[in-house]
Amino acid sequence: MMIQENNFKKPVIEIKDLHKSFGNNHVLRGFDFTLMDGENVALLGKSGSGKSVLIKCIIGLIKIDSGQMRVLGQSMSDMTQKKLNSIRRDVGFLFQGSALYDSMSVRENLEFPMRRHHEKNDDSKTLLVRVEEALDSVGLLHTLDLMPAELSGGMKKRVAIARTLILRPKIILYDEPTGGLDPITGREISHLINKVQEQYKTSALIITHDLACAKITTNRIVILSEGKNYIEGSYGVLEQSSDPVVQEFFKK
Amino acid sequence: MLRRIKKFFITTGEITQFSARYFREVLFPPYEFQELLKQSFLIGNKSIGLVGSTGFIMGIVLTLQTRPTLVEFGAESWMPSMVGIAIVREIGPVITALICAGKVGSGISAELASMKVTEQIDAMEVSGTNPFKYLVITRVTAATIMLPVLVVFADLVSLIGSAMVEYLKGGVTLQLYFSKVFEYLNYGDLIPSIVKSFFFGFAIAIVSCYKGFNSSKGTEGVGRTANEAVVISSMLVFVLDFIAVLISDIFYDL
Repeated sequence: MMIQENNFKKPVIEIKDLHKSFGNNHVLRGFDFTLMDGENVALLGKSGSGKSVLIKCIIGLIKIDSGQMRVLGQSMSDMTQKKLNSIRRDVGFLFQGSALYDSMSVRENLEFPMRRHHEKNDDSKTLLVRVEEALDSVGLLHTLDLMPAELSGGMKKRVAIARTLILRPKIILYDEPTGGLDPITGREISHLINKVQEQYKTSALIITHDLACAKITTNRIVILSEGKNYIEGSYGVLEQSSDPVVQEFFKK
Repeated sequence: MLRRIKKFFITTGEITQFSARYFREVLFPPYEFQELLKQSFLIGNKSIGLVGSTGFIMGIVLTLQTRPTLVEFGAESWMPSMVGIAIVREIGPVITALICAGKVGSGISAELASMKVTEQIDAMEVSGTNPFKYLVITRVTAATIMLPVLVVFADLVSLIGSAMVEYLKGGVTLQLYFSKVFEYLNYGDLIPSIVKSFFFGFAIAIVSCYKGFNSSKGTEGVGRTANEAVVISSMLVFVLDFIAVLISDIFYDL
């Protein structure tokens, strides 16, 4: 069910009839979805509804059972590891718990994806400039030599966002970007997501339970229910919907 | 009981598959030399103090315990060769391997398990890195290389401890002690000991990596994983030692 048309032209993620099961647990049952270039979309769904599974399928961490998935115009099925890595270079992923490497400093955490994606020819001075630029864009330049254990939850999220930005991705997948944060820090992260989109011209798929985050950051909201795209539309339109499933998310 | 037997065979099969994957991937690029060097340094550096002090004490204790019996039979001149052979053949490799199972094995499994639980392994994969190559191959190779080095060090320190007791109790000089030790030690003692140390290192690291890499049940599972890794790898050390002695007996007629 589609409530509102959008003005974006080129699709960057196209998913058709996606199925994924774990044993007898059918998580995704024919999910359809399109993310357009420059668009921010929030994906809402109950816990265990398959939201995290979906974005892990998009990035190739989980293999799909059936269906079609195209990311940046390339089909994700039967993709070689080399090709998958080149797609991953253009798709940033913010993990729910930030997933910063505990044994590395903030600087090393940010340098790691650059070194791995064959930007080895860049000298350490160039790498440092890129790291400082990414940290500056999340307002944490002073944490360069700190270890992740020395950062607060909000700072870890910001550093993780900086790490996803370091390769200048075209798409960013956010898994619960405000999860586990207080409302004030959550709001700051939401505004940071918008700032990132403006500065780096990215598209984003944001998985969240936080309606405030969805309201601030997204052009469109998709509700995932029983493994399918149940309904989609803008925040304002869905808020007024009388559909009982939609109301479960929006009731105060 | 049946379930436990089934679980034992499933785990054995999975560890075998995990080891097979190691051999499949270790030869092909990309090679993570920098991480291998870092892990080799960490494994050696982390354990050398403990291995050295334990080896030194073992040498002293073994000499003090056996000395009275040898003196009673007037055979104290056999002390250096007896202690030397015991340390080089058995005590050095097995004690060092058990220390490494406790220290290195638990460290590897807990580190990987916590990385798995906090999605750091997924983050590594998203960053275009093969986590098996970066985390498992480097650690297993480093432990396989470093354990024999630690064993040789432990043997040496243990013999120094024994020589000190002999000097203080029997007035045997260091030079005489070591000349007696090397007079009776031959390749049949040294080679099997070094070779089995490689296997001990491999077994400890592969079990620990397997446990860490397949950890589940959140943070609670991290402690359990480390515990299981130490228990299984310690057991494996004894099993491998038994097999090594049987094989050595065929080649060197012990």
